Amino acid sequence: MKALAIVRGDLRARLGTRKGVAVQLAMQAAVWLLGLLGIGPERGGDSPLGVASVGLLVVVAAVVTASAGSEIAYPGEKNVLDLAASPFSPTDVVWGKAASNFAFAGLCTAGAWPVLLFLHSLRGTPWQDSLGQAVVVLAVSWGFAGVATWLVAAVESEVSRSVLLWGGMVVLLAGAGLVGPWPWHPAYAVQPQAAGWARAACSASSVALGAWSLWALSRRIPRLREVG
Amino acid sequence: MVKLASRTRSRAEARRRARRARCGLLVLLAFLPPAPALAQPASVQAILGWQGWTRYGTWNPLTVEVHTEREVSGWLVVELPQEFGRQRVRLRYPVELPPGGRSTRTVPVWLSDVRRPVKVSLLARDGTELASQEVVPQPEAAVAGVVGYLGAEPPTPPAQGPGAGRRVVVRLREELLPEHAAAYASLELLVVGELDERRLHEAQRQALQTWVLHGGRVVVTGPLHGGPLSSWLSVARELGAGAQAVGLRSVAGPLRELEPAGEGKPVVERSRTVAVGSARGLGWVYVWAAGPHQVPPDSPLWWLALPASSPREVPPEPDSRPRLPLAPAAVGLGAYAALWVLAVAVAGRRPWGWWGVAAVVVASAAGMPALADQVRQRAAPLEVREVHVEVEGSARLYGWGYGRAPYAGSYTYSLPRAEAVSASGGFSEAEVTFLPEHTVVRVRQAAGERVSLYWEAEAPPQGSAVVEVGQGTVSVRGAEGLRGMVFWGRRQAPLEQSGPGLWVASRWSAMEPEHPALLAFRWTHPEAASIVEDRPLVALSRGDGQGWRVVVGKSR
Repeated sequence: MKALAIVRGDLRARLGTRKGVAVQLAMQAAVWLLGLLGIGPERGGDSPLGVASVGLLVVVAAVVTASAGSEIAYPGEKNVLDLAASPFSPTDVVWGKAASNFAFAGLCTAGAWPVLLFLHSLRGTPWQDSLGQAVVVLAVSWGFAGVATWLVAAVESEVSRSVLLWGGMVVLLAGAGLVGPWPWHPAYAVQPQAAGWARAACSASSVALGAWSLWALSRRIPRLREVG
Repeated sequence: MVKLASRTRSRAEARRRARRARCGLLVLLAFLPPAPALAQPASVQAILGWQGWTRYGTWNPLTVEVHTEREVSGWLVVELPQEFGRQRVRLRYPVELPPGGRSTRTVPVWLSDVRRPVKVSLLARDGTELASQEVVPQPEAAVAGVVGYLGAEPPTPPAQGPGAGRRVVVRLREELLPEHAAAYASLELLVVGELDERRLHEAQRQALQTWVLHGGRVVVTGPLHGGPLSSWLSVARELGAGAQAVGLRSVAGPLRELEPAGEGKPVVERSRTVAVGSARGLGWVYVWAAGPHQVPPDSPLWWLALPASSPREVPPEPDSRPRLPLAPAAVGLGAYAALWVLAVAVAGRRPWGWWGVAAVVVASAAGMPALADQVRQRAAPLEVREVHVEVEGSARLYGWGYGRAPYAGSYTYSLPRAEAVSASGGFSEAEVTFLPEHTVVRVRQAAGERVSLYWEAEAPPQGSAVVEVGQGTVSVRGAEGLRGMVFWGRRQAPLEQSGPGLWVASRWSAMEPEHPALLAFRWTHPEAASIVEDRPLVALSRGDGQGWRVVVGKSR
């Protein structure tokens, strides 16, 4: 129940404040632009749907990660450090943040999914394909959000934290081309023509990353309390 | 003994059980409601081409007889295979039949594959198949030329058709003549030995007349039993029984004595009139002074009557690029984004607002396919080239449309009310629905594929343009002379306004054979160059630049 209180508080701060609405507005503007980019005709084997899908993954993952990692400071939101100083148990904090990250990632994915559905309908592909992509976006966003939440507790310097967070995301997402075509890499698994097993592997590894980060967070909070 | 008695008892028991089962089955059958297909049968019978003879790469008649015991409101569907069998074209015609109704209709179908079966089916409005028949064309039945005849005596034209292919002679019946002029395209010549107009209905009469006016050829060799079509075909008067003709190359046997009527011109051999011919629009009507069987295959009369074969050109395919319909996409996606932000903002403050978020997601999921369909349709417009040809008050529209699919999926193209439509190019399925007001073509294409559509339609004359020939001038009355040009002989002259509703061409110069108007007319009539030799051709550019209106004047 205490974990639910954390979820409620986070969502209220991320959606009910002016800043939260502005963030949603900015995200929808980016999604809208990507939707327009995706209506381009297909030329040869290149489909703008693939580019738009990766774009949507980046936008959703960035908003969710930035929110989880306190890169966007919502008025009234309690981050991990605030919660570590509160009477909530480490387990409640971890579960609460995991659930709030999941709810926010789900909400942002749901906000982007109709645009994916539109781009799929435009090309006459089945709507289930857009759901498969949405699952990848949700899982990757949640995984990154878990890492971001852990970084808040693990790295004291805000600058170092930002560099680590965004540097890691850029390396992981944009560096895909350098390491070769891994089918389960998020940038490939989110493609419309990705195989089901690749999507499953990508989603599972993202969830594992998120789970590991939250486990690390649960070990970090008692230390923070000891130091504090 | 005991074993034998027991075996006999068990056999009797088995027989009794079987009898009971049979009785039960009979009772069950008696009380079961009759199956609709058995109680209300419908049948479809189809004949492809001219008694089975077809011509490849043009319109052929498909005569379909439908009979139904119950009231039917549905579709007559003709499934045509395409080359290599990978594509399918479905032509759908609305059908309304009362109980016990019977209907015979002849529809023009474009044959591009004569090896695979053509399926004709009668479908109810909900898509249930009521009856169907497969017509399997024989490759050897695809010939180079077809000469049809009405009457008892078959004509004997040259056996070799265009391109040194085979020519066949087919006996026709008045009742089964096509009711669309396009269906006559595969007929080279109609020989009328005897015509009973009472067996024709108005649509058939009109179609035959339209076909001749737009280039069809008819030879009359016998009596015509009254009626408007008979008098229209009469280009000569019969003066008497005539006499035995000796030493004529064109005719063997007795000749009737003919006198040209109206604009008819006699064909004379050794001072005997062997035929009278007269142009009817772009077509020709001949009256022969002998029966069709008396004109031998090497007779010059056949070379006069049969059309010259010239390859038909089609408009060059435009290098169309798909459009990016950003406006409807931007508006649709923008409306969704605004609704989403609003719903989320409410949900952040009020718990019941989450219902709003759910409603926005569900509504957008339902609406996105419709928005996508709208965007897809706008992204693939049909590039149309049309030529509207008017001859002696009869107007026909010839149209070509080219569409390139930017995305894989179904595309809907709307055409004017057409009597015949053919589809070719890149697609997997095409469905052409002939509606009373217009024609709808739904095509399933892969990304980047181009579809070509060709259609012919009877069109109302646009205004009442009258072409008059004066001393060195050609005047046009009643036409909106936008950018007009007159071609005549080997000259051309621009149309200039000379008074209200009067346009005159008098400044003649040498004709440009590659003038866009002449090229466009050649798409519909390959023999355009010879047509303009003896009659003025008024070409008016359409305002939208997508075609030409061509008014054909009378022959000199």
